[in-house]
Amino acid sequence: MTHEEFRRELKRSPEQAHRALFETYCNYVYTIVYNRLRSCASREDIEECVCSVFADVFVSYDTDKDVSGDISGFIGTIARRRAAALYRRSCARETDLPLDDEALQLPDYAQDTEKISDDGERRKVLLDTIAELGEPDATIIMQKFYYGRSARDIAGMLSLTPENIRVRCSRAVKKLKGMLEKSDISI
Amino acid sequence: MKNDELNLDLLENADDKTLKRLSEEYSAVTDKDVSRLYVRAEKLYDSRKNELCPEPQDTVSGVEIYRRPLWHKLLAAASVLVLAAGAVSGGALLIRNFSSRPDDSLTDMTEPETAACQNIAPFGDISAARVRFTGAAYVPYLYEATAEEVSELAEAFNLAAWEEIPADTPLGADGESALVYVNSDGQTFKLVFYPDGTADCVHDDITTKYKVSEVAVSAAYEAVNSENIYDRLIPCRFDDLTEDGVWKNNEALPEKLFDEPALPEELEGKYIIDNTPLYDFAWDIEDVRKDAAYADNIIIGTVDSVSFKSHGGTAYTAIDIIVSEEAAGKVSAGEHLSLGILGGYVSMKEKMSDPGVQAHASPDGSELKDYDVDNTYYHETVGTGLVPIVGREYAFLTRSDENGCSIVGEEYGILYKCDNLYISHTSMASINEFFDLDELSSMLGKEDSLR
Repeated sequence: MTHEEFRRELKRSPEQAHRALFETYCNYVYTIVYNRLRSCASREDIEECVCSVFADVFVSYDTDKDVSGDISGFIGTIARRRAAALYRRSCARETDLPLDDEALQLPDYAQDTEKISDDGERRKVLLDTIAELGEPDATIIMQKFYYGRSARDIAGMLSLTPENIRVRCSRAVKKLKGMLEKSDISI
Repeated sequence: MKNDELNLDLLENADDKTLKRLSEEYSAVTDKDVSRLYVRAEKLYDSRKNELCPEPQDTVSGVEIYRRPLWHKLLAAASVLVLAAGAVSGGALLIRNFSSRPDDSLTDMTEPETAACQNIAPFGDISAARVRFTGAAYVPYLYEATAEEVSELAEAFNLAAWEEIPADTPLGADGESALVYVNSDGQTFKLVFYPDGTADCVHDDITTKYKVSEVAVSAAYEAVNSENIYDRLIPCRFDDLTEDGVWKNNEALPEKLFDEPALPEELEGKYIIDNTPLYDFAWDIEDVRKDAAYADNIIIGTVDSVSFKSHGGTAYTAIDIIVSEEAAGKVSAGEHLSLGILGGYVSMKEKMSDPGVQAHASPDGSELKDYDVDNTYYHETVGTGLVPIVGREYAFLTRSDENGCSIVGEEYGILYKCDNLYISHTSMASINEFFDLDELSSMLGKEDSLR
């Protein structure tokens, strides 16, 4: 959805505009928030954070501002901020640093950049390899091990039986591990 | 971990591209969840909308409600001081300066009720201001926000609710603070955000404390902890981490202050032996304070060229500079000066006590021929072996005697000029100290105090 489309919808009916925006970007926002908080926040907290993101978007959207193009950047920024705030409040360790010599050290640019780039490459290989499993195995793997859903929930999403999900999942894991070993990625 | 389990933590905290891909390829929510979450989002929206712009209540006509901007308090305090000094004209100037800010005109004194819904932060709209950030991870460096980053931050600040609370309110949670420095047409202030959702606004030693809604706190923390800062860090002395002090320096520190010298063309193809000669220095030359104590002048200049020379079997590096300024009045701006530091390249022939001898013993006992001697050079490293970069400006701590002018402390007596600061370096390459010129000058010639 573009800014222009959203503004047009808002003029016609704010409620419908909100609903359309929510339905279009709920998955995107949930993905951002979940990605940041999955290992430390409850599903309820994550859902509340997602809802807060949209409330922020609805409150802060300035219809007078002449902005054009895809609205996803604006929504994504608010989602990342909200998720970061919740992460800081609920998950981050206290990392008070004394302002001694350590604070005078320059960040290690090269190492940080290398790590970011390395992690990005490994994530890409991992997602490519999962996709290579084909459907429905790729979805089963992601829903079970990334989104933490039960075989029953996944079965509902894919119109398969929970038993079928378990069997396919077990085989897909073995296959995926073998494929990843060849790419030098251990998970 | 069991054989049929997978750990996909690698996907956490992913970059934007990966997040887009994840959201496009996999469902994070079911259709049923979407409907349920939408209802909750609308409820949150309604409550926030009411917080920001409450429904009109019964009001008494003719009464204007105004939100007192922070500047009024600051202005009042500043004006009292100015008036006490009897500087009426100065006060008038101050008022004019403050009122020149587009978002903070004196007409704000009586904002109509509707202004409360116009989303302006109590210290004014910062969207046209310069903004710098720092945090525990990289203090005493700061980085300056781009116009786009300032605009995003201003939007968040204006959107947020700022409720003034007593300045002595204790912190509700420990953790790192996020520091935001604002410079709006020369009017400066500092915002310190805390993890408990409060923020201090400091201007002229007056602190106003606020309880701030999360949108502003998040925006500040996100900006301070941005990953996109590595080539934008501006050094700042600890003493200058004030609302005015942080604007003294306007140059980001480059990735390299000194560089590894390239092998001179004439030595290409020669046999190079790395050598670390031991010099017995009278003091710790890595301590810039001691170097300055034994120096009698600071010469600031741009490096014109770096070359390697040798004399009597000793290698040294000649640094030719064009002088920009100096403290003692001995050289003038624009003058070319050649300064030397130990280290560089020296031929084996020069090193040998008797260059005419036909054969020599090598360290491993084998015999060296003239050819070997003529084509072998020692690369002597004293300190880090790094040299100043051609085209860049440095301060050189020097001392003059009957032999001329020389650098004190070898390479450690050379400080990189970063706008108004001079950055020292040591063999621990990542540790730097920052000095301003006054500080460096005050350290000169104090050798008696070191004895």
